[in-house]
Amino acid sequence: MVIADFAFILVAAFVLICACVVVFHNKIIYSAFALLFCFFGVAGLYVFLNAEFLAGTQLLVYVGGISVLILFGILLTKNIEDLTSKEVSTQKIFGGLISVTFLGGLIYMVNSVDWKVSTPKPIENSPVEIGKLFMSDFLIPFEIAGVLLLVALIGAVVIGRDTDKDLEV
Amino acid sequence: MIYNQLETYLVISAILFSLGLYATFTRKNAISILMGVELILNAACINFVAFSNFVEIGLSGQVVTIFLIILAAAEAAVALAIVLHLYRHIQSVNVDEATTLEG
Amino acid sequence: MNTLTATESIPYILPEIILVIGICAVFLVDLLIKKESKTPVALTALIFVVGAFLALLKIDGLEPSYLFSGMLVLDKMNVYFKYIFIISAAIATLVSMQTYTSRKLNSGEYYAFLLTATLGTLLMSGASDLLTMAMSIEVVSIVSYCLAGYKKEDMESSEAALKYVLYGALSSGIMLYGASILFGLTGETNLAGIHTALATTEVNSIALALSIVMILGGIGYKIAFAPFHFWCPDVYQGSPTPVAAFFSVAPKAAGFAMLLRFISVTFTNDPSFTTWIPEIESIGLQKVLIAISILTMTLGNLSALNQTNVKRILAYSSIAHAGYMLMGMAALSFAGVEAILFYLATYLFMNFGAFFVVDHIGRKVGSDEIYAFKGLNTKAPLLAFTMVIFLASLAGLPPMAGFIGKFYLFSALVSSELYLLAVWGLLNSVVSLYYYWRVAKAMYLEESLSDEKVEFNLSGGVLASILAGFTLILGIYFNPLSVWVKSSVSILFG
Repeated sequence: MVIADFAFILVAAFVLICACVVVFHNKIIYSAFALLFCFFGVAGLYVFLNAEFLAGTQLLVYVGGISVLILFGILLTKNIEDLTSKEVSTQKIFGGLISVTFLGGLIYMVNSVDWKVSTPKPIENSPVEIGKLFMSDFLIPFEIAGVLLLVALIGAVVIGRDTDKDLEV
Repeated sequence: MIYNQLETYLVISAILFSLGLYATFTRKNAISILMGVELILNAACINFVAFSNFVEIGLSGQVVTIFLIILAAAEAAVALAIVLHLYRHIQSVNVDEATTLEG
Repeated sequence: MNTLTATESIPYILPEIILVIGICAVFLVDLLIKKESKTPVALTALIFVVGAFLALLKIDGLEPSYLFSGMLVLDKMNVYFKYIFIISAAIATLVSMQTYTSRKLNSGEYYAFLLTATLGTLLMSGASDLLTMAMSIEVVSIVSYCLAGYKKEDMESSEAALKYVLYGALSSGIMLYGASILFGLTGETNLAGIHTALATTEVNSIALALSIVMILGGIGYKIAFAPFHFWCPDVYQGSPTPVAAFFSVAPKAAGFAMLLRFISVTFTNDPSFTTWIPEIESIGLQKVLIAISILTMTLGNLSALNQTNVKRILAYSSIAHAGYMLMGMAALSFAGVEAILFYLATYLFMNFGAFFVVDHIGRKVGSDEIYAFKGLNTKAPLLAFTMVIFLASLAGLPPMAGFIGKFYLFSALVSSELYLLAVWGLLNSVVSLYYYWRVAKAMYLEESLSDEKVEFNLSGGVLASILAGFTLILGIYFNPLSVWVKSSVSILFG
């Protein structure tokens, strides 16, 4: 399976490099585009994990929705060329320390835990099965998600519209 | 066979998580902080899918991930609305310029 | 164990269903009613809150069960918390009706958000699965972001909302990462299932500790315990005052409900906190809880000392109170849980009362700073008197309800042999006297800056008196509440 390995390394490296650009690049517009590609790469990882339906969802919602939303956010705020993200050096050290500690801790954890791994097998017809789960075991989170999206939609409109005067016709 | 090992995915998600954490701690731009949070959420999603593929063979991890994606979308929409609204007030998206509330 | 399927579970979530219908009804009524008068919208919201209360009375006696294949749960403790949430929603609606007649706020969405926040807290207290926990926390959070930024012309309000949303998004991300590790270790998202997996197989205690700490981060953000409390003062100061009052009670109580369920169902082998799964012993969960509670109350009280804004003082005091209640959690005993439940009921009335008075002064005098309270005794004797009752109760002085609440907490600590923590808590209460005293002193002993009377209408006075009455009555005649609390501590296990 040399080809699969090679492809996997490509995708993984792509995700990590994009994530680094998101975090370390000065210009926010570059960060935002890197984030978009990073989401693409994560969808690729899902394909390796036998989750094709999820890869599709990731493309639709993350790439098509959230990154576009973030790009709009950047474009609607001021002239993008100047919009560099400021960093403070003391916070850099502090933040660096915390995240390196977490990274070390997590990698140590990943290696020390004896995960109860079994051989993965692709699940046939997974969209159908996922749909059945939505309507049976996961019914209540599904309903909560409905309320959540309704409120988020109306909330974003209420907060985002210019002033209340616009609506007084 | 790297691609068929749980640990590989967990390490990738750990790196994404730490990068996201670093961004939220160091960035001053509200939108950059949000991008960091999105990285953290993606890391959590990768974990769930990887575990559902290798540990608990089934779909529950994938279903959970779909809910996480919904959650991230809702959060991003509201957060960006708030950022845009604040931008109209102070003409800036930098968190340290929002300093009316101190003490 | 009694697990019900989806269709069987529907009668058990009647209050939630009524609230969901209420949310939609409020939006519709808002569309149908002309812009000028908003009272019908508020009344619609109030009707549905009362409806949810009646539904709650109806489900009170039902047999404790797991609902929707274990996603939610209904047990005695859950019902008790639901009463707290619905009562605080009712008070918040009443206070908002007072507030927004004078302010030009487009209030249709406002009441719908309030109902949604209540719905979220109800779900939070019943969540028995990592996924429902995360989803219900998110419902409360999203609504809170919108409510915090609701005063749109107000710069402070949008700033508060921004801080809230950034901290909130980060902490929910961290919580979800922790949840994913727990899922990987056990292969389950259901709390009872996780407990079975942890009890039967050995897991790595480092990974377990990491995931617990991360999940505690997400819950701790709602409770506002240190070090996740930074958002709290800014958000309370910036948000509309009735909203701040609601935030300081309902989501906090919901966070405690979730914390109690998460810790007891997942990690103890029996309901009385005597035996734990082996890995927890080595992690030292009790030490972590003790450390968090000491840090939280000390930071809250010390930061409150030199504040000049009364809303900020109340915000820091609410952090300190979270610290006191965490002491009850750290006791890890039945008595500790009882103390938390009792304390939350008293805290509901005294905190809402204090915020109500601050809201009133803020509207009439135009400031939340301490100097606005100067000479309130001569300007509005009733408000000043009720405020003193609330402050004395928050400080834990007898014969107020807060005293009994603290008494239960400290006796729980003593019976769990945590003497040092009890002494530290007492010291903190003494420190807190100082800043409550400053507000009281300004009202009674200092001269007012202007001679203007602070007028208030009848319903406002009645509301303040009712809240003060409960604060006093629960301090003197607390037996019924404590009997109810005793019968409510049972958490559904299995």
